[in-house]
Amino acid sequence: MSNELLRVTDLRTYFAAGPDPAKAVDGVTFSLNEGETLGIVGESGSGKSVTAMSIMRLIPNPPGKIVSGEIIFSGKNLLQLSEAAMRRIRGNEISMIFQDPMTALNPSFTIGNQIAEVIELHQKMTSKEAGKVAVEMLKMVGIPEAEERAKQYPHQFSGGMRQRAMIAMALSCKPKLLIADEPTTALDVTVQAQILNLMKKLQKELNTSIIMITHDLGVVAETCDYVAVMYAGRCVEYSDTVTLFDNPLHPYTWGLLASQPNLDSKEKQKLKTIKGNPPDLRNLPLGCNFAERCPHAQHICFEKEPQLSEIENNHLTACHFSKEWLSSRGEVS
Amino acid sequence: MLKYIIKRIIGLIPVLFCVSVVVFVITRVIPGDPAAVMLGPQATNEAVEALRIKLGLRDPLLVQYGRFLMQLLRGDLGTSIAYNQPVLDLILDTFPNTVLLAASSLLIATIVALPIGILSAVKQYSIFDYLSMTFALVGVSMPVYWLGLMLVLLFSIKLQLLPSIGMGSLSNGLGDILSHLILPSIALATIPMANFARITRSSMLEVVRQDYIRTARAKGLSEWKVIIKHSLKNAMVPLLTVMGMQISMMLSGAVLTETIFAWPGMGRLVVDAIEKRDFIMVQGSVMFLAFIFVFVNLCVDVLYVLVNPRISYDNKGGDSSGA
Ligand SMILES: Nc1ncnc2c1ncn2[C@@H]1O[C@H](COP(=O)(O)OP(=O)(O)OP(=O)(O)O)[C@@H](O)[C@H]1O
Ligand SMILES: [Mg+2]
Repeated sequence: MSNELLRVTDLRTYFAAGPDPAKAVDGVTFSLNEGETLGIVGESGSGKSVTAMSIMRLIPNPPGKIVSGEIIFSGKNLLQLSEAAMRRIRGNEISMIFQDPMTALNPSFTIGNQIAEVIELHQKMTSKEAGKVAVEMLKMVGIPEAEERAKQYPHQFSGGMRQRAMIAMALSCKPKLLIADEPTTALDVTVQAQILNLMKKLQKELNTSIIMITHDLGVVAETCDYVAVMYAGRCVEYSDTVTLFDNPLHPYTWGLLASQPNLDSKEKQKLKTIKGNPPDLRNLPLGCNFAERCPHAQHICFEKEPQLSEIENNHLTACHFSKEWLSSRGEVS
Repeated sequence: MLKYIIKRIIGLIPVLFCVSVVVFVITRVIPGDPAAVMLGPQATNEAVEALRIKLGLRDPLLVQYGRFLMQLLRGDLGTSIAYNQPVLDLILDTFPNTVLLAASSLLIATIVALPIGILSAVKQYSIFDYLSMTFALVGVSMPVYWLGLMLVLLFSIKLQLLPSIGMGSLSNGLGDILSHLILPSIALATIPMANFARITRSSMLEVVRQDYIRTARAKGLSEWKVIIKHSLKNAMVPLLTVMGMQISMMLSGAVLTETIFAWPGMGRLVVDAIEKRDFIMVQGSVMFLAFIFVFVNLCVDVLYVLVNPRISYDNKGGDSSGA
């Protein structure tokens, strides 16, 4: 097995505004090995971005605060580092790309300048050397005429080109971990595929681990080794990608899978949606967060909160009935 | 870039033409007879009439305007009736003093307002933010006249620290001029300072919640660098517009300040000319000021383009594309 790079244990990040805090992330646990890709999936508002920003320690405070948990990265607990030590990690060992490449780049500086900035900051290079590396990075992400392009401003780039530039910027210090928060959501389909392929290719070259945040299970199937499914701030299921698709053990994951179009299936299925809405993060239910919407919910689901536990090897779920789902494997669909 | 500037300069010609018409009409409709004022109450009717003819006041208005325009094109602003000297010479004697006053006010306003505005935005809703924005609100509504008098009362009369009138003289050293400059500069700087602080705060608040600021933080930049480099440059764009407007307003606002502090600037010259019904002087100096205004605005627009790469030189400095 390869080495573990990141382990997040019971992370809780709350946003305080008014008397009850919004529990945006409320007990997230997962781990990620070197060179591998972890997908984080879940509905809008389930806390995916907040998880990512918590790892970067960039939660705006106030109102946000990481109230408990551990984030072990390369053997260090990030939550115990000083702000200065954390700054040396950001952009250097852990970097991030964002959903909307149209707004994630500063309109007032050239692309080359923005890439060189992060290199100069972390690599002890002069700005001239950093500028050269920036051009090399642009070449690496497949931007033609990189020397010329580096002198241009973001508004002169198309959306796909900007995302390539973002990737160049994020990878310019050869980070151990790249967090991609819905990197392709804002792009059209052909460009999406190009960006994903580029990320996979560069991941191999640099042996970078990736956290791929998405709500597109197609992207997960294509790129991820492991998947964490999030619901209302909790990690409800965690396993390797094949197991998750073949043998999901949480009713929410079933709903998620059923709501995705499946091109492989022979018969044309109607897409199912999960009925109801996620709970109010300021006023979470006593028992399982998903119980309200779960077709299989029993008494206990409304009374006791299920804990995330290992059901089979490296397959964790937070459902009172996971064991039963496992033993009746094949009967449930 | 050069093409853009030339285009803008050509665009200014009709503006200045319109201004010349307006100035001409206004100076002719102001009540009061310059000839009568100049000669005093004892003058005979014949003498006054003779002077009117000499000044060209009896010619048809169109002829008078034609003469004014031809002079303007030659860069001649006419000869002052009251001082019997070329208007341009009188202006050039006093205008540098006004520029000195306006520039030092602008400097004070900017130096004070920028950090306050930035800090208020960074520490939004803090006590500092509330206090400074309260002061800014008081500042914009401060009557310059009252403020000027209070400053004189406090610093010149009570504390006897600073001179209250005049400009001092370079022969007494630079310090003499500077000490004379302080009070009028503060008086003139107050309103723009309050304005700058408010604009800086609001545009910084707008900028710091942009995605690219999150990107800058994710790069590992220090908060200082995020604010000064990544936020301020973007926040400067609206600030520059306001500054351009304020510069023009300060040059005209200087009239009041110059009167209070007896500062030998162009504002006082104009006030004086109006009192003496020296319409040649008035129309000449207003034309001159109009020229300065459009010039300042042109400079601001050029700066605007330099700060904001999304405005291309060719689209007339208009909208930004691709928001
Ligand atoms: N700065 C903030 N202040 C207050 N609440 C916040 C803040 N940022 C996030 N939240 C709350 O945290 C919750 C989770 O948000 P998050 O952005 O992580 O969702 P997400 O899973 O990334 O959704 P999406 O798919 O829409 O990006 C949301 O309910 C949101 O209201
Ligand atoms: Mg998100």
